Amino acid sequence: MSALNKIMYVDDDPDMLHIVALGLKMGHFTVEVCNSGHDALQQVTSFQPDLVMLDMLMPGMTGTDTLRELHKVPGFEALPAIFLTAKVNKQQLETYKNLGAIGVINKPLNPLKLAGVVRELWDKRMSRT
Amino acid sequence: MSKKILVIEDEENLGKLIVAFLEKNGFKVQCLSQGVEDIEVIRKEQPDLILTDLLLPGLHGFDICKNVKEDPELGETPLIIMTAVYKNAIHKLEAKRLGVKDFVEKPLDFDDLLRKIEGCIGPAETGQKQSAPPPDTIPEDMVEISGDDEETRKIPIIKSNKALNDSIQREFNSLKENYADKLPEKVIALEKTWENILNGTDVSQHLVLLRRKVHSLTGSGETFGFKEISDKAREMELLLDMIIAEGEHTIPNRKNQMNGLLDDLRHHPVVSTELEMMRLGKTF
Repeated sequence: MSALNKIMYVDDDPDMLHIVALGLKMGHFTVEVCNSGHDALQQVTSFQPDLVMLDMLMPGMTGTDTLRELHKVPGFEALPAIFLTAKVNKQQLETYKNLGAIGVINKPLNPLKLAGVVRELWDKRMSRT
Repeated sequence: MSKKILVIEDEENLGKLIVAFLEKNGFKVQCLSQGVEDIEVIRKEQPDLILTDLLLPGLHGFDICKNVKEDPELGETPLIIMTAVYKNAIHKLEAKRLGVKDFVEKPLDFDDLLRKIEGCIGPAETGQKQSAPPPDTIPEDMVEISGDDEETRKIPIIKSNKALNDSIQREFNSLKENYADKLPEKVIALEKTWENILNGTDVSQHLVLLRRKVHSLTGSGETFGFKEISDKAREMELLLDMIIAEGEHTIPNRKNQMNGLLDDLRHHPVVSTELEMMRLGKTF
């Protein structure tokens, strides 16, 4: 099973960037925060994340736009993702799945549980591949 | 013979949309757009199901439900409530107590609406195959986890060493304090954007901007421990969705509602305390 060590988190909300990063660090993950899709595209090659977590609603490039662009970067065509969003319906879940998402975490979230939730999603997904 | 649905909805465009959608799915539909003053008007329609908004002219939706349930002719007629603002657990409990069968939130997910209607009374024609998609099923290999629900609570907090945990806890507390400190500025920013909208300044751009700021609060508020902020922001987001869907010309109709929600935010204990401290700081 692939190891999960490095997570890139993309969100335009600086408050959420801080608290999510902190929550992930509790799980001993190495975290890179990006405040936009463009920022994520600039950082991905140098940071080499195992997983990207993306807020959905961002100005300019949305979460899905960002993931599509990340998948065009050589070496990241299959980069797994988790979306963070307030509300999602069945059709949206299907879209996210087709884009390579391994799960969705609803906001608001519990930052103290976040690392465990991410680990759970990763383990469940990886056990199926 | 097609089953009949009575829709009670005073938002004209939404009422028309619902009628068109349900008729397309084979139901016979009557819409009461002026609300209901007397249950007699519902008795005359003899619907198989009543789909009602809550905030209505005339009788409130809950009163309609109560009167329907108590009426000897209508008592068995299933009721579905639709609402943008009465969505918390208390309202849902009240709805259940009044005998309401189901609840749909606005903005409407029409597939969900159809599924719930067919769940109550079956498809439009007896013998017709149910057209609504099956209940929410998440694709097998796709997992959705709520950020903080019963399932999540079973997930243990990852134990780091005590020193790291203590350090992280201090950082969390500090982040929470910083967030609380910044809440008044966020509320003021919302008020300014709304003011620009009311003044007619770049309305569509400001609507998008306001919605984005409000959406951000829906997620961050409760994450930082301020659930009421998220709840209020969610109501504002729904209201903005309605304005955006129905058109800028509806802004005057929604002005008081939005002003009320902004006022509620401003009077949240953390926000009002910080605002007062800001005012005192300026005075000194």
